[in-house]
Amino acid sequence: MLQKSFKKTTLALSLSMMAFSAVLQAADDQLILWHSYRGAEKSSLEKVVQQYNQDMAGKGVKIKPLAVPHDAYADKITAAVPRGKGPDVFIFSQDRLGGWIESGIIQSIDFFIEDETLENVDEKLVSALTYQDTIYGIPLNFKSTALIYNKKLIKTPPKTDKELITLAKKHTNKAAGQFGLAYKYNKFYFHVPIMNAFGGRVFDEKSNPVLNSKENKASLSYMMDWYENGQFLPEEPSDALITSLFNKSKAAMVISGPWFLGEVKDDIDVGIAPLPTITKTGKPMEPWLSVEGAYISTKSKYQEKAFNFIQYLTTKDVGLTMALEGGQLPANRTVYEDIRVLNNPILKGFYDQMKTATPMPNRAEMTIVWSHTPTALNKIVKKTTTIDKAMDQAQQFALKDIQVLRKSQ
Amino acid sequence: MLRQPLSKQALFGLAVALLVSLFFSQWIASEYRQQQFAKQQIQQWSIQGQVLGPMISQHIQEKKNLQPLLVKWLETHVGIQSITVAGIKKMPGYRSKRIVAHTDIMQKSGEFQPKRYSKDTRYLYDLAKSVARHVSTNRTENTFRKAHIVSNWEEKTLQLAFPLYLKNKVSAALVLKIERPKPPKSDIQFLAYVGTGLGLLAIALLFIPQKRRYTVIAASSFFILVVGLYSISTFHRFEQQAIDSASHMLSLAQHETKDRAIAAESLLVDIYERPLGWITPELTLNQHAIQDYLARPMTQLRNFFVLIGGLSLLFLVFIASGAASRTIATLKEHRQAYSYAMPAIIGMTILVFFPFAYGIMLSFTDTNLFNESLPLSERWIGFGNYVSILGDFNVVAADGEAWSVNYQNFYWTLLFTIFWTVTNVFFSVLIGLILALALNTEGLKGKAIYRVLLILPWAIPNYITALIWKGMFHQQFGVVNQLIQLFGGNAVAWFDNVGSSFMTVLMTNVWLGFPFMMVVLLGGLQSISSDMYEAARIDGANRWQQFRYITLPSLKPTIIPAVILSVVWTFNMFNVIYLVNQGEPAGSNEILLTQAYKIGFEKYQYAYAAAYSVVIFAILFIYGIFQNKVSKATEANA
Amino acid sequence: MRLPKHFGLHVGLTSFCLLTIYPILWVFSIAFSGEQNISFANIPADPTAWDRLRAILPWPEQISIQNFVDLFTQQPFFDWLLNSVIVAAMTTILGVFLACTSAYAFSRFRFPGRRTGMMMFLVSQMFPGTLMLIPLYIIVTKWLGLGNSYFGLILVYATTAIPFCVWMMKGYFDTIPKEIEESAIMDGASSATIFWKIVLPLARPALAITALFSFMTSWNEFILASLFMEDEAMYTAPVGLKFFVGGFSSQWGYFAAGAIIVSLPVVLLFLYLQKYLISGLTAGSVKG
Repeated sequence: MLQKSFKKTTLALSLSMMAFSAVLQAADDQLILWHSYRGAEKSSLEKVVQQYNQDMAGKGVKIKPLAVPHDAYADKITAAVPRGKGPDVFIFSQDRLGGWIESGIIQSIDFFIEDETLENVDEKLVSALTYQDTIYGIPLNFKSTALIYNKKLIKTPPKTDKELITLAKKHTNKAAGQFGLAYKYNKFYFHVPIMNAFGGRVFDEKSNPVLNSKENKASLSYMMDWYENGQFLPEEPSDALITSLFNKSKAAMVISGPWFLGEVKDDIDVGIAPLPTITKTGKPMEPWLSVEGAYISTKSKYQEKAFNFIQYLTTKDVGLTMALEGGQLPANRTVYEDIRVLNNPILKGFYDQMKTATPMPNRAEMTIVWSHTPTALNKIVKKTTTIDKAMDQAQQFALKDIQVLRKSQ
Repeated sequence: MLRQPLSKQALFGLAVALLVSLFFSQWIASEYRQQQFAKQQIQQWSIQGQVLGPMISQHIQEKKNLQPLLVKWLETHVGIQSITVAGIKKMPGYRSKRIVAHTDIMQKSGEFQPKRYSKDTRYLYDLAKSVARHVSTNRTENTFRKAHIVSNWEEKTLQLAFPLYLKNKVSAALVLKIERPKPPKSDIQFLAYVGTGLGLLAIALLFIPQKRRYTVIAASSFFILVVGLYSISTFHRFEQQAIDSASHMLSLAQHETKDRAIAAESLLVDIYERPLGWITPELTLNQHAIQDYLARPMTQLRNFFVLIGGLSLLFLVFIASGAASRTIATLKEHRQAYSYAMPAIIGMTILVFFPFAYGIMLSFTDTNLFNESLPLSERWIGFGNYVSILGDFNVVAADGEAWSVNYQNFYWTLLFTIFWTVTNVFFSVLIGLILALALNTEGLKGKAIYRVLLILPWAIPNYITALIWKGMFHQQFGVVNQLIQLFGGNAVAWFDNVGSSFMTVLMTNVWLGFPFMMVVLLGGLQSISSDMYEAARIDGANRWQQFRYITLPSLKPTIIPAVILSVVWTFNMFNVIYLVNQGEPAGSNEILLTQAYKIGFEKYQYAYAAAYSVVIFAILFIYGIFQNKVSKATEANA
Repeated sequence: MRLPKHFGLHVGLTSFCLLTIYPILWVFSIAFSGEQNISFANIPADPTAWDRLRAILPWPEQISIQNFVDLFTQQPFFDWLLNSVIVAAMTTILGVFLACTSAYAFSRFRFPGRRTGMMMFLVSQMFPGTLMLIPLYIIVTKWLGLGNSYFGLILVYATTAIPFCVWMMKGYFDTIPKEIEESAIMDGASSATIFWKIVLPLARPALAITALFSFMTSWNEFILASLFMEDEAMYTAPVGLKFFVGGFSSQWGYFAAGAIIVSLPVVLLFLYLQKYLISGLTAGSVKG
């Protein structure tokens, strides 16, 4: 009796299992999309994903987005993907690209790319996602610093460093806590525009570090000239301080990126202009470009579908949604032909800056540079050592760390 | 023969030890064999690749017909399914796929008939692309870290891709698709060895006196004998196989170079296309080079054998000496105690000690971002990381006249970490104790409010409060400096100086840490019976004496674990350092953990960071043992 | 004139409380400012003492509850809070249960491996956690198949909390005189009865602390929670908070508002547990 009922149950169970798996087969292939956006950027991405799911209804594809906090993002990727878990598609800026390629996480997409795929994307942005002559992702948005100024105080933004210095000095009253220019000059990322204007760089053609090149050193002594002789920069600049100064009209100009604008008060009239030219070298200050790319996981079972989806993300319509609703700077240049985008001084301003910006190196070794530059810059700014010594030491440390990493087999 | 339990135990122990040790040795040996076999296959076909590659390159350059040569070549080479020239185009061009194509040169005509890549031939593109990428990476970085010859084992085939050099640049790859050769069968019956060992022991037991000592010695010696024989024969065979395969390759290379103007030794290369040096100029085998080549994997194999054998021997002694049966008896006797403790121990083993073992293993390798995909055996470096951490005494650097401390040095960081821990724990316990005593005052009103206010630093996520503290120490706008200036002092640049920077993190961490101590001690004070104080009062003890002779001793059982754990936590307190002063100035305020984090996540030296962590662990472990002695003393009092 | 009772003590405690909550007042100040950053005070060219004092006072320039409103409307923060409550409550129950039984064994029984066992618990706290993320991920999601579930997280949190709880509980159990149990055995009580009915009630202060600690362990943890969960609906509150910081900019206003909300349950729990902190043996029920 018991056995009989047992048999029945198993039969019913297996039948229902079959029915269940049939349902599964009919269901869409679910592609997981990870990103670290929040606020308006997140909702605009979710909107275009929803649109895509609607368009593809019945075609066997469904995208499921998952927001991951920025601070946990890299850990989650490196833990999940090599174990065959994790997303099919993920979005992140290019600074982690090299490392993730080296550990076999990101699929190269050369194979999928057609002539027309990237024709609307600036080559510069594509090169940010190119590693060892291979393309690994499709550029979605970019970010860079630019000159952000208070229109009430600055009528016309400076075109050259001389104009900048004159303006900055005019608006400085240190005793009253008032500064002509505020930016985090003690952070390497914010020093880079000057470094690039002096022809400096971080890696040479052989991708060895060249932190102590004479161009880099010259750029640093130029910065120290601003700091010591110009006297228009605040001490110990931090995000909170710069925001606070700018919001109180106590900083006429700021070097920062689009993220800064979210914190600016409504009653401040903000202008954005490309960073000025350094007269001495005749070159403009070139900030580093961070490009947010969409990548495909090497472990994804649906690479082709994933590629179709990231291709969709670069279309003009998606770009417009991201720009107008998410406040992002899409990589697709046709977005900037739209009148609504052109009339937006912020989008326009940063797009103009992009033309002179340089992609930030995407090599894995970049974190080693990030690891040694803070000490060097701090020492230079605090004048506990000379620029020569500080940079030579940073170079020596970086070279050693990189050689350990790259040893031959 | 097996009259007595002693010989039973010895036989049982030997059986288990032999089975375990030979089984695992056999398993590892066959893994090793498979690995070597795969390597040999790749090397053998590499010879063909080195022959074919230049031929095809020449053909492309001179537009000659390759077919006659190829047909002849194919006659003597069986197992090849296809030979393809897979093209890629170099930059500039993400616009590549249109132009890029592959050609199956085994097609009849012998002409190149390029086909665009399709979904089915994507693997060809991927292989070719990785070959080109690897060659160019190695060339730019001037290293040999990425294989020039890329292999891909499929279920039925082996795919091998070689770079095709045209004007010294790689713009295509030669892809051979070969029938997957049958792997060698394991040819050792390890059960025979087990049987032999057991038989020998059984006979021996008939003659030796039935004493524990003798049976253990006999069982151990047979174990060593059998395992030793097994190992020697295995090693000998592997060595022979290696030499055989090398001479096979030599003859292959000689055969291939017979009618051509290529040196035979240039054909025998490793996956980085570096000559292996197995062939001397006189065209004989270079035994030394082969020995050297084999040395590393063989040493590893030997180490594994020794490890397994050693562990099994221990196990054998454990059983044969009767310790095993005594252990079982103990387990039975204290059944209740073990069952109470077991759930927690099981959880800890799986979720704490296992990951921990992984970390320890990692610390014996040289794993970093660039080589983590290599097999473990090729990353194994033993104690290298520890030597370079502990052996670097370069704490003080002389720079001309001036002396400066090398803040990156392990010993500086260690000293700093100890100082950091001691001061933090001292102040948290002190403040916590004072507050607990104050709040324990009988008849004090508003206790509940004080208590809640005072635990707030613990309750609010420290991520934000740490940053508030950082802001409070800002040179120009920070609250602390405003306060100093309010009383006529001068503003301090807190983060510029080793000492003042330390003050910022110390204050923050004590602020974060004292509520915990206070709560623990409040609980502890409750376990002191009020009768004791009464008795003391009657004896005329004053407040201090009561505190010294009643409160403190009674708090010991609660203070000591709290202090031990708080030492351990403070030692590894990451957030405060990371968020408040970032180890500034110049890394002087870095603790061991933040340093390990930097090495692991900024410099990608995973194994070195793991070794750092193990060292941190070892230091704390020594502290724990020391402290445990102290607490043993307290337990005796209680 | 006589000062009120404990006057000096009150003065001391009040001033220390003020010092303690001062940084927290800044958190409140940001949370209620409606802005995202700490606003540095205006310090004029030649600041008077009053100007400096003004800079020291943690008072926002304007008061707004916008940050709190946004916190709940921008994200499903309430759901995440609920997830946190579930996970933390289960962790507390499991953690305290496991800790009590083990600690009892370690305190009351003399068995081989006892010292080693205690030592092993301590040892587990010594290995830095950052390097254990990946093996832990493999064990929980691949081997145990507990990825994206409350239970996986609860299990990990509870085991993380065990060592402290065991050490704490053992310390308290040691102070409870054995005579109580011995007399109970004479009365014919079983060992389970002794444990549940006699020993545990006596160890109430320790139970309260252990519970609070287990709760806190899981309550503020974010990295494992964001590692294991694969659905936004499964995130816990600390993960939600982390969305506001990191990357190019941080929204400290939201973070502060969230931090205040997140710490409320802890404060409430502490208020509830307080009464157990003042019980235990004070009644003088036993004296050996």
